Amino acid sequence: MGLGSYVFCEWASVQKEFPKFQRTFADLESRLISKCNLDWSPKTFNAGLALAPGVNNYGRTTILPSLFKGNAGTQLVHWRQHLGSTGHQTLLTGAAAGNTLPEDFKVGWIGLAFPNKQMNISEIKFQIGDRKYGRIDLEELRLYDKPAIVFEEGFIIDEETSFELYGYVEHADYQRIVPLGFAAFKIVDKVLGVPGAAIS
Amino acid sequence: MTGGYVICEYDKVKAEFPEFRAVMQALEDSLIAKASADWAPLSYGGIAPLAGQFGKTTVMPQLFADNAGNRLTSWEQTFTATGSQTIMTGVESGGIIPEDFKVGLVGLAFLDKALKISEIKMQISDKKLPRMNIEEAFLYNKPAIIFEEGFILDEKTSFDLYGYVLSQGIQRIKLIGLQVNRIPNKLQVTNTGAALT
Repeated sequence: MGLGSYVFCEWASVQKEFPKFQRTFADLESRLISKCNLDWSPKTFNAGLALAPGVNNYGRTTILPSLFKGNAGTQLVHWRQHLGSTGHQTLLTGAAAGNTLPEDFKVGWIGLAFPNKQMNISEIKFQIGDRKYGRIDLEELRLYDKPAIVFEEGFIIDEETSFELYGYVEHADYQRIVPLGFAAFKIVDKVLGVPGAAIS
Repeated sequence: MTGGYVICEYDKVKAEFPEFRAVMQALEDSLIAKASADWAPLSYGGIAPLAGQFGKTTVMPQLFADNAGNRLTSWEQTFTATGSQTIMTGVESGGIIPEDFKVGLVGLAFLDKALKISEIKMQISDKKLPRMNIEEAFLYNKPAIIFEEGFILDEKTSFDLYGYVLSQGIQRIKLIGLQVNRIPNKLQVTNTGAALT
């Protein structure tokens, strides 16, 4: 991880407001593929078979909510969750024991989108493994219709590594918090279940 | 400081004020240069600082006090009286910014549809900036005032923002810019919303 920074933007026009986004995303993808190639060798990535990998390939899909637990500590079915109380709260964690990401999945995380008209979170901070990242005030996002915060350098959330996203909740209400990026999966059968089903 | 200002829709700031990116970049460069000099041998570490580095984040409301003199948890505050008011100061005694934090200020955003302030003025340490009527911002849905040249609010330096309040009620006034933190731990181990000292 280099110095990194972030940008607040309208998610719908991120490429206009933040022209480096495509490069940032491509860089993260390249780093994640390199890591998967090493960790999951002899499996390799075939871009043409990303969604339907062959026997010797690993695959790629969107970040699935089932890889995470929400504010209530239950595995998410979708990104919408009910924030039951105000103040400092755990918003998202890895779904497996110890708040870790389930085995055989690695996530390339590049930002957060809040596809709600009502923004109930004023501040966030997060921790990946033993690395803590500082608090970020999000209130500027209230000015946007489709707010997002995009990191100038993405993060890799590795399998069996803990992930916690905390936030300051101003109003107890429903909120949809969508991590932006993609997930790599080692075993295709794990993502062939019923949509919304748990992943372990 | 010779720069001017622009009143605009915040979400169109880049269209209406294309120099914004350059202003923000220049302010960030100045702030990092100042922090690197003041906090040597620490170096700049962005949002992921390592040992021996200082960090960066958004401007945090916990560094400021509201019109009632209370430390902000978010940028939201309640006006309980009309007329000339102190609407924001540094949170420490004497209205100063706490030690180990420096803020780069590039403007103000009003995160409400209903604007309750008609005029503002600012003072940074002993430098007084003149009154500015902002009623033009009533025309906008998401009004913001962007300075053509940013200001640095240094640690242990006083900051006061005054305003003429037209009506009582809740107002969310956000300082636009960035902040550097000499001790990243202060933002990494504290809970969101918690005080910063």
